[in-house]
Amino acid sequence: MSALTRPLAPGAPAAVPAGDRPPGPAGGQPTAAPAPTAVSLDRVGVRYGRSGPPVVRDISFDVAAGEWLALIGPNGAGKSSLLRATAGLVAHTGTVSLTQAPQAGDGSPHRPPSPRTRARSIAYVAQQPELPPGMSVAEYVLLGRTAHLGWLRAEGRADRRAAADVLDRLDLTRFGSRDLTAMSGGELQRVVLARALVQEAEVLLLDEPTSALDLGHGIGVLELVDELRRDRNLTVISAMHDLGSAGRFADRLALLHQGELAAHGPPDEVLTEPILSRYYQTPVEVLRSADGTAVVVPLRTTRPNTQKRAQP
Amino acid sequence: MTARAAAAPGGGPGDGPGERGIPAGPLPSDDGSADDGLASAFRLRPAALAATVALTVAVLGVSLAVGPFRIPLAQILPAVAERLSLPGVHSSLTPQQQVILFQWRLPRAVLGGLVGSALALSGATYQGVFRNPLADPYLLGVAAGAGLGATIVIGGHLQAGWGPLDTVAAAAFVGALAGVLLAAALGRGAGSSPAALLLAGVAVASFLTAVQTYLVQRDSDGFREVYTWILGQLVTSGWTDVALLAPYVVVCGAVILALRRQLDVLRVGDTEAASLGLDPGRIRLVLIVAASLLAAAAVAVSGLISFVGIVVPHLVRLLAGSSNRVVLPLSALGGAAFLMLADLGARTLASPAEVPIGVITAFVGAPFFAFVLWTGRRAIV
Repeated sequence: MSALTRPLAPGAPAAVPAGDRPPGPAGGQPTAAPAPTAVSLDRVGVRYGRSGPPVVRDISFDVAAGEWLALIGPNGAGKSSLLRATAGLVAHTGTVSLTQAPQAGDGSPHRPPSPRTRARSIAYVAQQPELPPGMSVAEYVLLGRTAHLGWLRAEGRADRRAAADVLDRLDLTRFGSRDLTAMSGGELQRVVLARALVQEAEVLLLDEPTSALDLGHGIGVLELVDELRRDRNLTVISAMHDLGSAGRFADRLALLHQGELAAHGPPDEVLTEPILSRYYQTPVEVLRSADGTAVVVPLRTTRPNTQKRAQP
Repeated sequence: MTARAAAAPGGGPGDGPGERGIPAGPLPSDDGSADDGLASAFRLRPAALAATVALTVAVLGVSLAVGPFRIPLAQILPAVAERLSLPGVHSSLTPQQQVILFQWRLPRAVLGGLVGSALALSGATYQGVFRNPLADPYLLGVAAGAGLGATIVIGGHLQAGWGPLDTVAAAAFVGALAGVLLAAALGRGAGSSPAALLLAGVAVASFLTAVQTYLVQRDSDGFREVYTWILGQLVTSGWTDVALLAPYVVVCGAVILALRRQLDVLRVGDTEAASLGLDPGRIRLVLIVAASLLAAAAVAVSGLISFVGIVVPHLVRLLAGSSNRVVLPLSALGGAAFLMLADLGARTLASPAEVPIGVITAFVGAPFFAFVLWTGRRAIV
């Protein structure tokens, strides 16, 4: 239940006129103020190539401003493709609309007209970011200012100040002049996050942000994302592999299966044995940790003696 | 901001002991906070720029002074000033020296500088666009197309001059652009990724070279002339070729240098560049067109001078860093110096005969090429 005790939209004013759709999780918290929709997907579909099979089919959901939605699902379910479609990086059908938060007086969604405008609203962190050799951390982070610069302009004082603030916030200042290729995995994930934050976009898309990290660094990065989300009132959509972390950090989960939205709701409604066993096609057991969040344990399929494990 | 100074215990090289005690206040000036690397990010260091300019000027001076007829180095500047009718300057050069200087050596040195600049800048641009350290306009059909164009004109005895334009140069220019267009069309059909375009270029180059070889085989009379053209030469009389090439260098060079920041953004790959707000396809198209025009114009006036586009940008990267905001301007300058120096060798090593300049550049370039391949990771784009 701990995921639900978190306010739905931290920092959002109490009485904000919502858009035309009901925001927040289905059957969400009765006490939470209605938050404006930040990202709205309407029948989004993706296919690669003209004749390729669709990898994402007709997916619709809303994410409220300040909310964290985790996309889960087995390999090849379409999580990364849906993220890229949301960021406008792949051709897709349907619409992705953004509503400015929190003063969405008109509440009208609009389509971002150009990559530049879109990059000012949506920052995207790839699963395996490209790290140009010979580029310093400071240079890499400054690339995040691209959408704020004119065609022929270089970074100015304000851009360097924004980068300095973010480097400071993520405890990266001392690495500024270091070569990217000389950074460790955990530091790199912070560097990549720093570049996304310098974009000053209100929506942050993360594709498997912890896949290359060990246990401690993985949790560290997720805690950092959560803090930043509260500090800056970011809306976060992340593709996640680790179901336990997804349930612990996200407000809502969306389970994709073969490109379709199979389940959608608060972690406790999605992380259940029937749902997970069905879509991951392997028996699982869902336990409760001391803080009440779900712990998903895959069971061995070849040896039956695992059944005698005691219930908590 | 106070945390910024405090968060760097024994950090960067500019981390002076006095810096940590600074009380909270406005942001220190951009140049003051060297420890976070932001002030120096993408910066072309004045020392590096000054050194490259000095090298280029020195090479220009030496190449004007050295030759069968020596011209005193100290007399060159006064002679140029007098030529430009600056008041109060008198040159002590003999009329013969003046003719050699202004009719032969200066145009040839300037042409060499422009060709070197064009080839190095277009090479650096291609390497940036394709994120491939060995990319070069020659690889993308420019050389093969130009070679075929020149071969057709020479083999068909179509040499003529239309005003300032001679048909070999015109055919080489058209052939070079046709080669790139063919490669681009083929690469687009194959998905238009950088790798697809490069592979298409290799295919186009092989095909055009095969056609050229066949034509040369049929007509052994023109063989020598084609061969001479392919090896490259900077033989000129007067300023015609300079006037033909200069507009391309100025316009295309300005376009490429203006997009140097975008080229740095492309270094993170197309998907991430797009997520940062760039249209990678459009930037790449503009840069490829500008770099190809530059290379085609250079090839048209000088023949196929190889390896400049690879050697110079890589030297710059090894010495001054990998940001395109450093590599592009320094390559343009360094290319000029490199080719003027190569031309100096071409006309003095076997004087009074000339060594083809392409032989000189390849003689230096081929071992360097091997070195880049050998050391692998040091070749950074």
